[in-house]
Amino acid sequence: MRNESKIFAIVLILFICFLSFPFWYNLGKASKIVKPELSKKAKKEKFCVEETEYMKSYHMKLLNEWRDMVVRKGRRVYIGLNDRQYDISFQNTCLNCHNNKGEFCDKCHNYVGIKPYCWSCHIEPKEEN
Amino acid sequence: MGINRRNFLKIIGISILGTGIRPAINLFWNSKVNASQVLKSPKAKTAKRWAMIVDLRILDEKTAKKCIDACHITHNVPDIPDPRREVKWIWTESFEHAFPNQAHEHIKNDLKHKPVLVFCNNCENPPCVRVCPTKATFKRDDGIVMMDMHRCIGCRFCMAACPYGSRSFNWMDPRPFIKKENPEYPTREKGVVE
Repeated sequence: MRNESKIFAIVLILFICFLSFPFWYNLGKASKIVKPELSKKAKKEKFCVEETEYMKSYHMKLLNEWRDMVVRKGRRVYIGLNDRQYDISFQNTCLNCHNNKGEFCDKCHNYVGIKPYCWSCHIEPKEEN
Repeated sequence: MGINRRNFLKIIGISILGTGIRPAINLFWNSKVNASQVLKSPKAKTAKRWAMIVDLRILDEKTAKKCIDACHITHNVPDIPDPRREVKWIWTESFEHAFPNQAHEHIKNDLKHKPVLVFCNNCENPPCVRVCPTKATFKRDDGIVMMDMHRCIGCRFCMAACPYGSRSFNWMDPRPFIKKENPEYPTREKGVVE
């Protein structure tokens, strides 16, 4: 009887070690948080179509709504921050300033492990830097 | 006595709901895009119903080629030599193929051998729109039959429905077949109808 409980305890400890393996194996190895780099052109502009915080969290939503506005409703002008008017166009407006796909888009997208399908059709801008 | 099982579950349920509410509110309320922030371009021309006319009297082989090139280069249409795989937005057809009802034996000789430029007819009652299961192909109020490539699932119903052969399927990645990309217009991808 004593032997059995001993074996049970050892198996239990081994099992817990096995379960927690990924945690202590990766301890201290957390990959660095990446930050997107603004291109020269984007830096010169000072502000984007909406506030930076909003763009960080919701740019994908804004892009989706821009797409529907243009393609579905034929509305091509967006009134953004400081009442500035923009042509609603991913390739001609967004990528005109953010012309560094690798440093601006891919850096974050790779970090969070998502693959947006924008680029299978939309032509990526020629890198400036 | 402490709380009973029923009350415990109630509290747990409410707390879980509570943690979920904030992100949900953020998601729906924080959206900055609304109809008041988008306008129709003031430069945009308006029409009750758009039409495009080809004057066959002055159209010749050379002009037709120029028109095709202008359209295809602007819109990044690939030049695929295999006719079973080709993608075309505007192309030439013989008179009797373009207007089978008007072609007859005694047709004027110059008409007989003239190229006719054909393209999407933007039908009043477009069959491609009716069959599209995702509404990727749709008709605008001003009569333009448009294609929302983002929505296309490549089922090719529209190709079967179109009586004029105006729809093409991307059997392969079109990019290698585009000589010079127009950076102001997107391309299409494999598996999409245009």
